[in-house]
Amino acid sequence: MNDYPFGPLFERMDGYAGRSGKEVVQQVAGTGFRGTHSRCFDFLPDGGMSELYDEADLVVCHAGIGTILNCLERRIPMVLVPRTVVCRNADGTPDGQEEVAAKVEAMGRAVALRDLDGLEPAIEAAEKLNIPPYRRNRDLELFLSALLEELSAKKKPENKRKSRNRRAEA
Amino acid sequence: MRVDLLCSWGGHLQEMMELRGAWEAYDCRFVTYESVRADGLEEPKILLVPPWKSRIRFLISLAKALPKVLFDRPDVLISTGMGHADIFMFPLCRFLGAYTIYIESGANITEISGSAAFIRRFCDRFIVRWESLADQIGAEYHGGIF
Repeated sequence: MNDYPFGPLFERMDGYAGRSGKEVVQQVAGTGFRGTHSRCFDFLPDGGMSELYDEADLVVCHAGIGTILNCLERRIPMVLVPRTVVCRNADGTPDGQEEVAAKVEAMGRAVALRDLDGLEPAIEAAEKLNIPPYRRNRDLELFLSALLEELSAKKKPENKRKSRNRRAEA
Repeated sequence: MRVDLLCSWGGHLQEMMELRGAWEAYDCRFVTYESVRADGLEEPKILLVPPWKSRIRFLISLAKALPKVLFDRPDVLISTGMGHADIFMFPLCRFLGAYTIYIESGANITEISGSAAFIRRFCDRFIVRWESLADQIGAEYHGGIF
């Protein structure tokens, strides 16, 4: 969790850790928050985060794509907390995170939070989710792979021409 | 073939890594913002100061990066979203003759970001991750984020 303004969620998760006795680890990203019952850190390199994901039984996070992709791959149930749940936009407009959260919830892999007061029931509901195996969508990767191969093939004759020209000049 | 990979940290970097199978066989160079995660990326890489930390230091770091881009030009530029840096890099690399590919973040379901809208004119490929958005704005769609 590394996005302003998630302070109220950090506090609630810290309280939940105290009441439930469960181990809660929070990425608080330079907000200065330090919990009484939870272990807090600012940032970790990739390896450190991977270890945390591997050990996690449940992830409570904002509806950011990076965290979601990591959890999907590891079949970790999620409670998604769009930033507007913690802090409504000043003009009352919706936020893209709400839509992302709804999409992942519809996949049956997360519970999307709509009110911070519903946090603990949402955690309980997410713990009961039966997460099926996840197959990463590789369509774009395959398309890009073919495109780069095509571009690379076009570039090779140019390289040969250039080296022939250089040899001729020499 | 030199491929420059542009992405901000967090989800944008994760989305780039999900496409690793497509680009890892080439001579790749990351262009990203300084962060703990960026420290773990393999060389070569160009690290910029995030503009949300200091706009002046961002511009200075961008100016310092220019010779690296000019004298070691990319053949292909792929971005999964780097905001302000995209705005400078796409016109420049297009001018230098690079093939430019922009992939909008899967986080954007119903509209594209402001920087994406600006750089679209400098893209050979402008790809979004939601089919409904592609239909709505006439962009390319080659598979969803999930």
